[in-house]
Formats: sequence, structure tokens, C-alpha cells
Amino acid sequence: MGKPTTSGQPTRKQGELLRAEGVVVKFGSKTVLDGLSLSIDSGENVAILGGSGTGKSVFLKLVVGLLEPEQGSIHLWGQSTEGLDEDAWIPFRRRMGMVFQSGALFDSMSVFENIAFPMRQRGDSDEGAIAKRVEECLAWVDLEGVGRQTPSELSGGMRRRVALARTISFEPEFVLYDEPTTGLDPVTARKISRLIRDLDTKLSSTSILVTHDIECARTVASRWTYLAGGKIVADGTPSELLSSGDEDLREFLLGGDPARDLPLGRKRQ
Amino acid sequence: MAIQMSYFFSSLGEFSEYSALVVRRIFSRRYTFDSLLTQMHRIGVESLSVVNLCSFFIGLVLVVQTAAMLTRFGAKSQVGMVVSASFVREIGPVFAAVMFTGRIGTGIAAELGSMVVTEQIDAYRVFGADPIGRLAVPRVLATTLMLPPIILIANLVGIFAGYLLARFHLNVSGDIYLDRSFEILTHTDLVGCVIKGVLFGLTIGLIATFVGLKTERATEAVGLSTTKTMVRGVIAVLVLDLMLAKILVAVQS
Repeated sequence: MGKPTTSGQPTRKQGELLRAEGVVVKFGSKTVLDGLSLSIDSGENVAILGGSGTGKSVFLKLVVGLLEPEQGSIHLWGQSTEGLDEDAWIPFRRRMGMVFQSGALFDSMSVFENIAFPMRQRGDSDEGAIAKRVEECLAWVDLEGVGRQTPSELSGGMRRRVALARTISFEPEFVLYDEPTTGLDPVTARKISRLIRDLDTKLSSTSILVTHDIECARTVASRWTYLAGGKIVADGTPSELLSSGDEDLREFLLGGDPARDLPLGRKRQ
Repeated sequence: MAIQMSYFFSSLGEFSEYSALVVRRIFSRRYTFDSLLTQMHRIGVESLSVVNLCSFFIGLVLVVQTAAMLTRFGAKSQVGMVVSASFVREIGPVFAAVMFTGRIGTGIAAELGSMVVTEQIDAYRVFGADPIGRLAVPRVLATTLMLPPIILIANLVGIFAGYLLARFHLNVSGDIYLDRSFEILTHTDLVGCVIKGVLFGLTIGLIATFVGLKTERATEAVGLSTTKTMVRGVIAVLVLDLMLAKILVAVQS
């Protein structure tokens, strides 16, 4: 990765899992992504950082085929996803998992049914094995015994953990996290961040984390990219981005640190 | 005006495409039999009480209105004929369909709309499930299958309400009321009633699921979808009713 780079055409590499080239997305007259290019290799854990409304979540939706770019292309595992219909997307989506910002648990199903859903969708019919796997996943997120409850009976943090359990239930190769800690208290947010880090290690999966929670990005990702003006404007290791001379980037990364600009003597006040 | 017409036709085109997809998905069986039964039970139970309550009062009103007129011609005993023919041929199917749109159609649109807003529909797609096959098809099938029996029951309730009023308030013989009520009806009336039920149910189900799944991600969007379902559903029912009335009258004559 080297030094932070400005956006450009990524070159095709061995083991490349995702390649986005010149992606443009517009909503009405507003251009959300403006020629975004990004390449991610298998095994990488990448955080996409940026302020609200910069198109981070829109990019994730392009990657899973919930939106189509107006221009540019998305390649997954070396194959173009251009013009694919819903049925043609299924083989790609079976290798991917996504944790939604709101959790997106199915209200009409119990927690158990929610976690079993992706497995059943993939054709698993051994109910005994599914039940065992659901229990394992619930234990992993520290929520044993809540299988019979409905999502409405759970707290916000518990719902995010169930959403994580649902995503790991089928051990996807590629996991996308859309603002997994937004709206949570700092303690719960830290817990979720650690769970995501452990999940990536446990499954050896590739992941993209979209967030503006620097603490979460620090825990989970070894590569950071910074999105502004619809493009990736910086890409590198966390320390490379933190030492960048770009004022906007520094403001974004360090602006939330209350101790940063304070003289040492005032820190304890 | 030109923009509105263009919007109307593009929406109609999109709706036709959606309807064709739903019909194809009915045969590709992506829904479970359990989900169909659940929807049929829910839709039946939720709509029966409100539809029947309205039918009961409409039956009473019909007797009050027609008896006054028939008495002037000394034909009070024919009141059953008027109530029955009005109910089975027109009021029963249309009124039940309108109530059904208000009670069930808007409920389906709100449910699917909330699933859009909370990203549950996106989650369905990401996990490789087809929201149209899994969610829309069982609801459309359930509205199509449940509305005909609901209309038939509503007709019976309306006729029975008329019977109570005619017998105990107007002193018309119960036997005469019932004889006249069933004498006027033909097989075509009953078949027409079922055909209307199937077509109204199918249309309401398609409109409700289409509008629900197209809900935008905004706070007021779910409310807007329920209103759209009510307005479009009732207009579609009235237009269809006019077309079917022309066809059924032609068949009968």
C-alpha cells in the first residue's frame, strides 16, 4: 500500500477480491460517488472513512448489488457484476455477508429464525445442525438463551450482536459492515468493534468496514481509506493516514479527540 | 399536465411489469405453504369483522330506504328481492373490496414499507432471498383467495340484517323475505360475485405490495404508501367493477 495515495486506476492483482473502477452514482442532480476507484485483496480488512453523506454506505450497496453505478464497473472475484439480474447476483451474495446499520433483523421472526435464515436460504435442511450452529453463533456474541425472543424485545446493542451472529452463521468469505457502532454507547461500541475484529480473525475473512467511528476503525482495520467528494482521497495504513498533511483528513481523524489541541497541563481539568 | 401524464403511464408500465413478475413467481414457488396459510389466516381474520359489521348496517339501511318506497306501491313484501339483488350484484362486492383495501391493503403496504425503511428488504436480497417471491406472492395469493369468501359472507350478513328489520320492524313474513331474496338470484350472480372477488383481491394485493415495496427511505414515506394504496386500490376497484358490470349484464341478457 505504501504512502497514502490519491485516487487513480488500481492495477489488477493476484488474489484481488474487489475492484471498483471509475464508479459514478448520482441521486437526482446530486453526485454521490464521482469516479471512485478501489481495489481490495483477499484477506484485507479495510475501513472506509468519511463524513456523513459522503457515499460510504452507497458504495457498500454497490458492492452487494443493491444499487447499480451509472458509470464505471465493479468486479468481484475477477468477474464483472455489470447488468446482473437478481438471480445472477445470488452466487456472489452466497459468498458475502453484510451487517446493516440498523441491524435489519426480520421483525416477524424470532432471533433463532433470523440467524437460521441465511443457512436455510443456502439450502441447509438439517434442522439439528442448524439449531447447533445458531447456538454456537449466539454463544460467540455472548447472547446465549435469547433464541426465542423477537428483535423488538432486544436492546440496540443486542440487536447489532444478533445481526453479527446472523452474518457469521454461514461463514462468508467477504463481510461488509455498514456503520456497526453508530448510535451505541461507547462501551457497547467497543464490544461490537472487538467482536468484529475477532470475527475477521476467526473466519480469516476479507472485510470492508464503513464508519466514522475512528476507534472502531482502529480496532478492526489494517488499511484505511478516506472518502471525500465522491472519491477515495487517501489510502494507506492507519499510521500513514494519521500522519498525513491533508488538513481535512487530519481534522476528520483527530477532530474528535478532545485532548489533541489542549496544552498538556489542561488535560486533567 | 404532460409531466403528470408521463408519470402516470410510466408508473402504469412499471406496475404491469411488476404484476407479470408476481404471476411468474407464483409458479416458481419461492414461498412456503406455511407463509401462504399464515397470510390467509391473518387476512381473513382481520377483515371479516369490519366487513361484516359494515354489511350488517348497510343491509339495515337498504331495508329502511326501499321499504318506504315499496310500501307506497303496496309491494313491501318484495323488500327481500331488492336487498338481495343490490347486495349480491353490486354493494356486497364493491363495499367489501373498499373495506378490504382500507383494512388489509393499507396494512400490507405499511408492513412492507416499514421493512424497506428498516433495510429488511435489502437484507432479504443480500442473503439471496427474493422479496417478491417470499413476501409479495403469499400476500397477493392470500388477498386473491380470501376476498371471494369474504364477499359471499358479507352478502349473507347483509341479507340477514335486512331479514331482521323486515321481520321484526316492518312485519314482513320471514319466509316471504327469504323466498324473494333467493328467487331473484341466478347462477350468473353468484359466479359474477366470485369473479369480482378474485379480480378485486388480486388487484388490491398487487397494488398494496407494489406500493409497499417501492416505499422510499423517509420518515413520512410509510404513511404516504398507505394513502397511495387506499386511493389507487379504491379507484382500481371502481374501474374494474364498471368493466365487469358491463360484461356480466351482457352475459345475462
